[in-house]
Amino acid sequence: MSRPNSKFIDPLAPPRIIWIPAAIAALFLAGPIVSLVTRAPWATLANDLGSPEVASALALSLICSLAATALSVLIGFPLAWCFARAEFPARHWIRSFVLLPAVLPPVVGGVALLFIFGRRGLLGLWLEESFGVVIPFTTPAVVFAECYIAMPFFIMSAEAGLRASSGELEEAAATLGAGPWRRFIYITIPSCRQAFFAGAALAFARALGEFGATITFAGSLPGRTQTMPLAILLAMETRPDAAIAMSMILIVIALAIFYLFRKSARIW
Amino acid sequence: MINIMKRAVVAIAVAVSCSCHGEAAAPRTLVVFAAASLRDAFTEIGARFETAESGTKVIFQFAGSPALVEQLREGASADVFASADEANMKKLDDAGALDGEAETFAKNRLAIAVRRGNPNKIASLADLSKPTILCGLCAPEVPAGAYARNTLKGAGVEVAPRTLEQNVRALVQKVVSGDLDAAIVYITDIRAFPDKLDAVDIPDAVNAAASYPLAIVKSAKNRQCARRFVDFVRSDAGAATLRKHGFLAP
Repeated sequence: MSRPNSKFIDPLAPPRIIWIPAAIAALFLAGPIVSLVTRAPWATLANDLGSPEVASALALSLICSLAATALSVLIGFPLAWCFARAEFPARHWIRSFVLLPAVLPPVVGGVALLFIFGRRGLLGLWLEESFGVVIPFTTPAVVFAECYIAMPFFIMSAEAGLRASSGELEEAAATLGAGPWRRFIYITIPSCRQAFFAGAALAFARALGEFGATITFAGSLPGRTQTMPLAILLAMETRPDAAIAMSMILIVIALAIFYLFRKSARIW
Repeated sequence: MINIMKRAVVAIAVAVSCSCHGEAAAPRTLVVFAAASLRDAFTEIGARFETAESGTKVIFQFAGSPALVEQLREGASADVFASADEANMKKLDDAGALDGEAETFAKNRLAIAVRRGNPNKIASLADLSKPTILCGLCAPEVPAGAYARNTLKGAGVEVAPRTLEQNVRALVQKVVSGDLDAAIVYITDIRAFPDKLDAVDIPDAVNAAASYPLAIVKSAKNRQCARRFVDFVRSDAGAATLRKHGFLAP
């Protein structure tokens, strides 16, 4: 489009004054990360990152976040499917309760997890008496805490994806004799793949950053329950340089997720 | 980078093998929950213990004593617990979670942590009540917070703390970083940062001396090893390490 004359004012462009609060917002959001990067102890970075504590926290974080994401997809997708396509009693209420952890302060989630899986909790008591299984403050507890916080994000995304696809293709496939599983694998999943991957990436990012529920329900034991965010907080108390170095890793991972996220919007 | 990858692979292997064998791997690992103020001393004692007992790995969780008690009451598995006060140890004892009696192994005293060179010229507890001084304390549930409150009360000083931290190491770090001007912490926490901090003494008359008990936890997976660790902390070698970090004899 060519401009008819130099005095043409784009009717959609915001007034000039808007640039001031906009710039403040941009600085407020980008500034902290930039100043963290400039404070990074580059000379000792490899050393800080190479310590066994950091390696085990990173490994634990990645394993637990991947497990939490896998679990979210495995049982979260069926739930999203039910929400999007099935009618059942109290659907609205169940949906609200199930998605609540997404907006709940995570520490409340951790306390709630203790009250069900803790030794004095409803299920925890039974698990310990019947099977001798204690979940809180173990590595599985980290996965529980992360999954509890992350799964609603996946469900919301997958449900939106399923709602957006009309279901006409499935109807057509059904008339051609495809069974429900065949329709699910060849049509339902591919039709909402973008929302599926975006939801999984969001759940992974959320699981990786989980702090409140993890420290409440899983504690902070190096090598067992001390994930990267917990290790970073602890390092701030003793070796701030190591905390910055570890933060850099999480920034890099976050950038990678962001990149994949944007790519997924175009490709999938 | 390759080194990091290697270590990550090893860590993953360890994590996987732990989750597979569970109990089987446990006898080689001693889990010690200890008050945050013990971090430097116990890390060193742990390393010495590992040398003395080849094949044993000591894992520490350092946090505020009440947080550790809460975890233990909720079923966290640990072999040894070291508290920074008797009140928190008693809570665990009352819950029936101790194996035997708790033994006091060290004492500590409070001091005011200030930046090196004391730029705000803080000379006594009374100076902490000046509105221009950003002063921090630990939360009252945390031993260091409870002791500090008793001390302030004894000295008849009222302060308006800018923060109530969950553990004493988080508090002292805020003086190191310059976010606080002063904090009431243990003398041992100040000694951990000799280039960054100075200690302003608190007179004996009002200084609430902290005493540190440790005990074997009832759910200990490896009782004998836990016993040897407790004895090691109380041995001459353990006492010397504690003294080096500024702790006093029990």
